[in-house]
Amino acid sequence: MTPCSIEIDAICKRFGGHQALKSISLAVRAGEFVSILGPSGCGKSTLLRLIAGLDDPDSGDIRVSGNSMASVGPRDRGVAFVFQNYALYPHLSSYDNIAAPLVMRELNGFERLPGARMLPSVARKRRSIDDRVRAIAQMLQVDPWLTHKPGQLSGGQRQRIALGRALVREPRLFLLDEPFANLDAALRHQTRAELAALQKRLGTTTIFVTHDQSEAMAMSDRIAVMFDGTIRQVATPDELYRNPCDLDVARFLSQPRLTCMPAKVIVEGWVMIGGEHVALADANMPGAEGIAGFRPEHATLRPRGTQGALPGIVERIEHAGADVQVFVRLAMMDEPCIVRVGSQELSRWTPGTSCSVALDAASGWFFPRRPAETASTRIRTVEAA
Amino acid sequence: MTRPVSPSQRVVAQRRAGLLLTSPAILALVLLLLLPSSAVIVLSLTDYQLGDRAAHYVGLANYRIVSLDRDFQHSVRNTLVFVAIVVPGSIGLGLFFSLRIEGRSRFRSLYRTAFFLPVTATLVAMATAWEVLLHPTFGLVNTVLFALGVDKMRFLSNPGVALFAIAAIGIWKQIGFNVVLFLAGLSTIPREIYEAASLDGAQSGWRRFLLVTWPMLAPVTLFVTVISTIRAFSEFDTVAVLTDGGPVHSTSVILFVLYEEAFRYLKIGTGSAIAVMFLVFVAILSLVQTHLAGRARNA
Repeated sequence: MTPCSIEIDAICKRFGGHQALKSISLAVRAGEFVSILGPSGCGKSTLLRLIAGLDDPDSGDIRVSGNSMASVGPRDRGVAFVFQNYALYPHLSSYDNIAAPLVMRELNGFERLPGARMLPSVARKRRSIDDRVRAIAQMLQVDPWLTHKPGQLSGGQRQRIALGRALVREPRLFLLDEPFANLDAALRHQTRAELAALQKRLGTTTIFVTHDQSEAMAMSDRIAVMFDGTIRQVATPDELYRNPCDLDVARFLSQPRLTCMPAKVIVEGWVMIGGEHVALADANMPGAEGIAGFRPEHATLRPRGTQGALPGIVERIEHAGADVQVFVRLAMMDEPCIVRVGSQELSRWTPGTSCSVALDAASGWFFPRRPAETASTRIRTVEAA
Repeated sequence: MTRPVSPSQRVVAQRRAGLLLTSPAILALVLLLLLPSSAVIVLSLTDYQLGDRAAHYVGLANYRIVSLDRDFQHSVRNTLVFVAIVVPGSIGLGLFFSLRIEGRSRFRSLYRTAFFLPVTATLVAMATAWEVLLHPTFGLVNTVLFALGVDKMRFLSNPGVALFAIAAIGIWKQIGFNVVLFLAGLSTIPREIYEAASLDGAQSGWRRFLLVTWPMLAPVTLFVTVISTIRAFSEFDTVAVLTDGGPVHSTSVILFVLYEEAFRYLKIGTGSAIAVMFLVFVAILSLVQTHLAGRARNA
């Protein structure tokens, strides 16, 4: 089937007293791979279920290739869904699981009876189903397990069967709800590369829900970041990494953690952090108060007393492969800030060493304080320190 | 320093510990199950009558007498009819009601309790209520039938109807138990599998039932079938309270004949023979059912 575009238009959904989706709008182009990224409970799975037709929105509309889906049942939306727990039929073999969507759609109740195979017309339909199931099984390399039941398969094998069941009827829209959550790390990397390649090859429009930012970054054409029932930003992985629209998005996309410090803009390009003047290109609103944020890879460690850098003490060190994450205790911070340095520098920054943290003025961000943010952030004010 | 322990010594120690830990259960089983059953088997080989000082060994004579007895043969036929109505009836209706209860969000536990009530209630009291309901002149059932234009019926004193009336009460008695078991089974089916089925094209509830519910309930259904069959074969109290086996033996079931033989005519020997035959039959039946279901699942 030809890939379709999707327009999600001001969708709202309420569960009891909880507003799960607050007027969500999102447009996905035909053939595009879009991830919906957000912490658990942000409403991303709810959104996916609404697109699939498993739940109905309270208001708003979903259009697939321009046609409203409001009165279209899940079966007729041309949507395939891969569930987090795979939702395979446990009493059916892998073969029958993959064949199920075809059997349910193409054979009527009578034709599905075991004896009906004797009729030439049914036999022909069964052969056509068999051909497609075997082709999908070969593509996903699950042929050896076709006679097994899901209970006899490993997590990765089950996941492939679930993919096969979703792909076999050539959906025009492919929805995946955290499909890698139950796989171990090595398998997750392999599977996500395979899935991304498969999606490119088939060209099926795909919406992928995940809470894992590295997964979203690795696979997507674009990422929609969701918080608390709203979409905050829709952008390409690169744009999202370089230019997050607010503090929540920046925090969510920082590994292992964004360092946030209360700051005040003095003149354009300069902020005051804990009594130090620090260069920060993003700070362009003189007089504004807010949060300066930077990623571990956007700071460097200098000797104590360096001009324009923040004084601190090395607290502890964590190894992360080629790099080392140095946790530095700064004077006015609750939590230590994290600086990523090359492992060859390790010997200079033993715990207890005095140092300065220099920010990369071009890469750090300044987020002006909004009224709601003062209450929610856990950062002490400069005066209190 | 610990003494080195050879593997065989360890096995012996493990066996001893196992025996020690299971001994209370073994003791209880022997005292409460094996000894009484053996006593019944021994008694079934004698001509003992309640109150006698001594008994004589008569071999299998009791079994011959019982199996040639017209009343007993009649009771076997009655029991089979009763089972053939109650088992499918209570399973089918139990499944139907559990599906309806599972589908609703409100009053679920209220319905569950209402259906389970007959299982916990004292049957003698409930049987009296049924007697009133089925009364030929002022009973509610006949009043309703009369309003619908059907002739009034003597449910419990018409030999052609009484067994079916007792079977209806038997279904009512068993449904609640089956509903609770089916509800437990239904609650273990993940919601996502139903959603996957609706996306795969099983749009009607019936197709989803065939694709998901029925196969996934199979283990529960097997258990319910075995339990319902055993309970239906063991029917006694409704008959004893409501019809006393009558009219003209039309509701006399196996256990009722056993009771009459042993405690009304005090012929413990023949009564025990019936008990042993019944025990063996029910044991074989449940073994066969379990075996068949196990084969079906592995096929």
